[in-house]
Amino acid sequence: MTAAVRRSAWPLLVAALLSACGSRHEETPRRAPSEPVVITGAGQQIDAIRRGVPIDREATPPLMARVENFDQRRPVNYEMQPPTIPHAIDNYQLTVNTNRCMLCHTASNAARFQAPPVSEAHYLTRDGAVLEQISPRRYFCVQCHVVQTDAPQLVPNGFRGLETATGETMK
Amino acid sequence: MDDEVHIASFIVRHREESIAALDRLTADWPGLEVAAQEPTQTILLYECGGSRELMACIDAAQTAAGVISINLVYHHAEPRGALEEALAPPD
Amino acid sequence: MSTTRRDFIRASAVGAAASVAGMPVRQGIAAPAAIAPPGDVKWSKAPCRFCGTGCGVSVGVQDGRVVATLGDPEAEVNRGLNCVKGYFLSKILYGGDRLTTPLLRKKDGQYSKDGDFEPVSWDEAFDVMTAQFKRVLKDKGGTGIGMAGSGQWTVWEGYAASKLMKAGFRSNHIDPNARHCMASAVTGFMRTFGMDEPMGCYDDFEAADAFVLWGSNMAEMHPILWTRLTDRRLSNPHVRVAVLSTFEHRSFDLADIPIIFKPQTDLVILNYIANHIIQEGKVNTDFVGKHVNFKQGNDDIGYGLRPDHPLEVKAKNARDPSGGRPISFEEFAAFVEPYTLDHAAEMSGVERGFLRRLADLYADPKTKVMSLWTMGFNQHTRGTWANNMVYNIHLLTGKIATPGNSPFSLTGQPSACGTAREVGTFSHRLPADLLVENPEHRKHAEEIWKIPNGVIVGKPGYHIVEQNRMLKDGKLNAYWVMANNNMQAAANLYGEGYPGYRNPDNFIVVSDPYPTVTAQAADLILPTAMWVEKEGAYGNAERRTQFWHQLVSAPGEARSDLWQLMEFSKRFTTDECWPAALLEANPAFKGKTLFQVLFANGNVDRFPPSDIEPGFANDEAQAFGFYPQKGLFEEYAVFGRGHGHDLAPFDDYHRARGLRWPVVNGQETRWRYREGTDPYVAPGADFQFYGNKDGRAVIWALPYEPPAESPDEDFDMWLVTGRVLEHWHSGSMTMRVPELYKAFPAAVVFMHPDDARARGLKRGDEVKVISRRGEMRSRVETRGRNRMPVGLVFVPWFDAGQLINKTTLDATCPISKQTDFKKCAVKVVMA
Repeated sequence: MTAAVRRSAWPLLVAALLSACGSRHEETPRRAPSEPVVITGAGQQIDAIRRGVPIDREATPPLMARVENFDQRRPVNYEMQPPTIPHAIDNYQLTVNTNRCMLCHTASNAARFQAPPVSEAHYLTRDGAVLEQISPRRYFCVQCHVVQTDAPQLVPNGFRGLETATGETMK
Repeated sequence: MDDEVHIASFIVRHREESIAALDRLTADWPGLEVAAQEPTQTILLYECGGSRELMACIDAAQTAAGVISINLVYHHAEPRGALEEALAPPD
Repeated sequence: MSTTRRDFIRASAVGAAASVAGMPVRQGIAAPAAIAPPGDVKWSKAPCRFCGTGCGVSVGVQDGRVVATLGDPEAEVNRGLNCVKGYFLSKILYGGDRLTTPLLRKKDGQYSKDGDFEPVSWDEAFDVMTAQFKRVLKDKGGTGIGMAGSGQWTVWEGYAASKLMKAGFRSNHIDPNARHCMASAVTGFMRTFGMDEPMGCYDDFEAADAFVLWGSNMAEMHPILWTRLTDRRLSNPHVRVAVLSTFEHRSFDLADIPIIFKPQTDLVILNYIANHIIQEGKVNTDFVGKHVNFKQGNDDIGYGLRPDHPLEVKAKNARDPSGGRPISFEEFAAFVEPYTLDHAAEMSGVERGFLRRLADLYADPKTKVMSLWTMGFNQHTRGTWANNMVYNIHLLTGKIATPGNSPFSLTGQPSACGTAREVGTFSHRLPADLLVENPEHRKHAEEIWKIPNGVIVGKPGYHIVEQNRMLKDGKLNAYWVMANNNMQAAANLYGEGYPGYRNPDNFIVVSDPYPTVTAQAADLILPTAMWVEKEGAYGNAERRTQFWHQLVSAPGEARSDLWQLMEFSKRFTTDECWPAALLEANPAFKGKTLFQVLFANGNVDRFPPSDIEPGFANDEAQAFGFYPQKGLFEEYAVFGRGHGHDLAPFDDYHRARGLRWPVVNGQETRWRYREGTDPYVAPGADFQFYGNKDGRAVIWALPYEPPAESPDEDFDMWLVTGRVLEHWHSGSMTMRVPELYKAFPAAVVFMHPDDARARGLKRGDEVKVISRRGEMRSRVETRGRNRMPVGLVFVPWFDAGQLINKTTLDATCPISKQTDFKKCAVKVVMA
C-alpha cells in the first residue's frame, strides 16, 4: 500500500476494527508488569537497608523471600535463646482452640515426629509450679520462636558468643 | 605440669520429692555439693578434674529420681597452681 | 585466712547460677565480687531496649562485650520471659555498619549541604554545629532552633535536652517522637483526670475477668503482656477476651468476641456502650454522683493540617479543639441516646451479637474489665476523644483504679512515659505535667533550675509534625534529631519531611548509632552510644522506673546523647542566648556558659564519681568529673516529689527491679486515685482524682466525626500502617540482627485475595501503593499473619527499603497533634 493510501485508510481500518470488536473494548486490558526498576550509582547512600536507593526514588523491591523448610535444627548462640523454627508454619493453627505446634513437640510425641521436645522450662507457671502440659504463659510459641527465610543479609552482625572454658566460642 | 581444675555450677529443676535423691548424689560424688536449694530448684557446685567427669556428673544428676532439667550455668577451668593464689584484698 | 582464686571462682559460679535461677545466695557463700576477673561472664540487670512493656533482662558481659541475655527471672514484669526481640538483645550493639566517627557533608574540605559525608573529629563536628546554631541564634534567636527528641532517651537525657533547649537556647521547639505514639493518650488523661499516666498496673492482668483490646495487637506488639493475658484466660475459663480492629491479626487467635469494624467507627461503638450502660440501668450512680463531672466537648475541630487546608478552614472549632462546657448527667444520657445497637451495627459493619456481648462486659457490674489500647486509639484524628470515651465507660460503671478494673493505656516506646511524658520533653510542657503557658509553672521550674525568672518562654513551641512543616517553610533552621528515625516515621515524607531536611537554609544534625534514612537526609551525623553502653533509666507503661549501669563501652568514638548535649552546651554563653535586659537584671549570670548555668549549677554536679556503684564504668562521669546521671535525676525528682509524681532516691533504683511511682516512704503505688493503695488519697475519700481540683474525673460527651481522608473513586482502598512482632519501630536495630531480619526481611502489602484478583495481582507481585502524596513499591501478600477485609491494606513501616510514609497523610488529632497513621486513601496497582 502506498503511503497516501495508508494515511487515508487508517481511520477506515480503525473504525472497522472497533465496530467488529463491539463491547469487549469497554474492559481494562490485562497489563503485563513493567520492567523492574533498578537504581545503581546513585551517589553516597549510607543506609544499606535501603539497598542504594536514594530516599526520594523508588526501585523494585527484592523478590518475596521464602521460608526455609529444611527441618534441620539450627545452633543457638546462648543458653536462653529460643531456637528458630526450621520449617514452614503456614496454616498451622495456633489459637485458643488448638495448638498445632504441641502436636509434634510434646515430650511424648517428639520421638515419633522427630521433633525436638519443648524444654522443661515450658511447663513452669509464672510462680514456678510445674504443670503436666504446656504452661499457658508459653502457649503462643511464635512470640519467641520465628521461622527464617532465605533473604540475603543486608548488614552483617559482629556478635560473638560466650567463650567457654574449653576455648570454643559459641557463634 | 599443672593439672587442671574445673569449677562449674548447675541449676537443677526437680520435683519436691527429689531432694533426697540429690542429697544421696552429692554424698556419693566427690567434689559435688548443694550450694543453694528451694523446693523445686537446686544449685549444685561441682569441682573436678576435667570435662569428662563434668559430663558424667551431669548424666548422673539427670537420672536422679524426679529431676526435670539441668542447666549448666557457669564453667571455669584453670591450672591448680593458679587457683591456689591468694587474691589481693580490695583497696 | 585470705581468699584464694578458687574461693572466688566457686563463689562466682554459685552467684551466677543463683542470679539465673532467681534465688538468693545462701549465707556463707560470698556474692561474686563486683570486679570479675577477665574471661568470666558477669550478669547485670537492665530493662529491655524495645517496647513499653519494660521486661527485665539479665545481660551477660564477657571481656567487654555483651555475649548473652536472658529474661530476668527476678523481674516482676516478665518473670524470666522475653519475646523474640528481647532474646536477641545481645546482638543489637553489633551491627556491622555501626557509626564510630562523626560524619559531615563536605565539598573541598568545607561543610557543604550538597557534599558527601566525610569522617571528622568531634571537635570539627561541634565547631561546624556551633557555628550553624550561632548563625541562627543571631538571625532569629531561640525560635529558629529545634530538636526532635525521643521516648527512647534515658530519663536524664530527656531532662538535659529539655534544659538545654528551654532554659539554654530559650526554644520550646523540642518535641519527642512520642508525639507520634502517645500524645492522644496524654491529652486523654489530662482532659479526664487532670494528670497523666495509668492509674492501674500490670497486676490487673492477673485480676481481670474480661479483656478488651481496642485496636491494639498485643500478640505482636506487647508480647509479654499478652502472655500474662493468655495465662489468665487459659487458666480461668470464665475469662473473656474481646479483640477489636479494622483487620484480623494474631491477637484474634485468643478472641472470644472478635470484632472487625470500619475505620473510625470505634467512636460509634464507644458511645453505643455508654448508651447501653445507661439504658440498661447499669450506671454506678453512687460512684458517678461522688466522683464524676460531665462536660460536652467542642466538635467540628478539624484535622491538624496546615491552617490554610480547606478542611481546617471550614472546621468550626479548629482554633479551640479541646474546649468544652459543663453539662448534667441527663444531658450526657441524651447525647449518647442516638448511639443505639442498630446505629452502631450499621456504621461499624459489626454483627449485633458481638456488639451486644462487648457492651455487656462493661455493663455487668460483676465483670472486672481491663481495656487495653495503643495506636488504634492514639494514632487517630479523634484520638483524644477515643481515650476520653473509653474512660467514660469505665467511669459510668465505677470500674476503675481497683485490681482488674483498669482502663489501661499501653505505651509503645520503652520510656515514652519515663522520659518524654514525665520529664516533659514536649513543646508545651515542663517536668511533672507542668506547662510552659502557665506563669506559675515557669517560675517554679526556673527556681528549681536556679535560673532567673523570665528565661523560659511562655509560648508552646512547634510539635514534631509542625517541625517538619516549619523546616520546609524555612522558619526552623538549626535542627537536632536524637534517638529517633523521623524521616522514616513521620507522615507525608515528600510533602513535608524530606524537603524540610534538604532545604538549603537548614542545618540538620542527627545523633544515632546506625546510618538510618534520617541520618542520610542530614548534614551532620553524630555516632551515638546505645543501651548498656551508658548508664540509663527508662519508665515503662505501668509507671515502673528501671535503672541500669553502663556494662560495655561504645565503639570507636561513639558517645552517649547525654555527653553530646552537655559537651555541646559548653560552647554557648548566656550572652549569646539570653536577652540583654534579662542579663542586666541578673548580672551574676553574664558571660557564663550554658554548661555552667545548666549542668554545673550545684545540683547536677552535686554528686562525685565515687558515688557510682563499684565495678561499673561511667564514661560521662569520667568526662565531666561528677556523676551527672545522679545529679540530673535528683534535680528532676524535686518537681514531682510531694506532688503525686514521687520518685524514690536514685540509689534505690539501682538496687530494685524498678519501682512504680508515686514512691512514698519507700512504698511503690500500684493503684492510683484509690484510698488504701494511693498515699495521696485522703482517708474516707474512697476515690479521689486529685489531678483535678475538685477530685472528680470528667466524662466527656463527644460525637462520631469522619476521618480526614476516606477511600473514593481515585484512591479506593484504606491504608493502615503498623508493625510486626520481629521488628521494632523503624527497624534500625532489629533489621541488623540476622535472626530477626531473616524472620521477616521486608515490608509487604497485606491484602485480601479478592482485592488482589480484581487488580490482576497475585501473591509476590510487585505493586505500587499510591496516594495523593506519593507512591511506594512493594509486593503483595495475600496470606500470613494478617487477614485483611476487602478494601483495606496493611503495610508495616519497619523497612527502610519501603518508606510507606511517602503515602500517608499528616492529619492529626487537633487536640494532641498526634498523626493518624491508620487511615488514609490509597490505590494499589501492578507496578
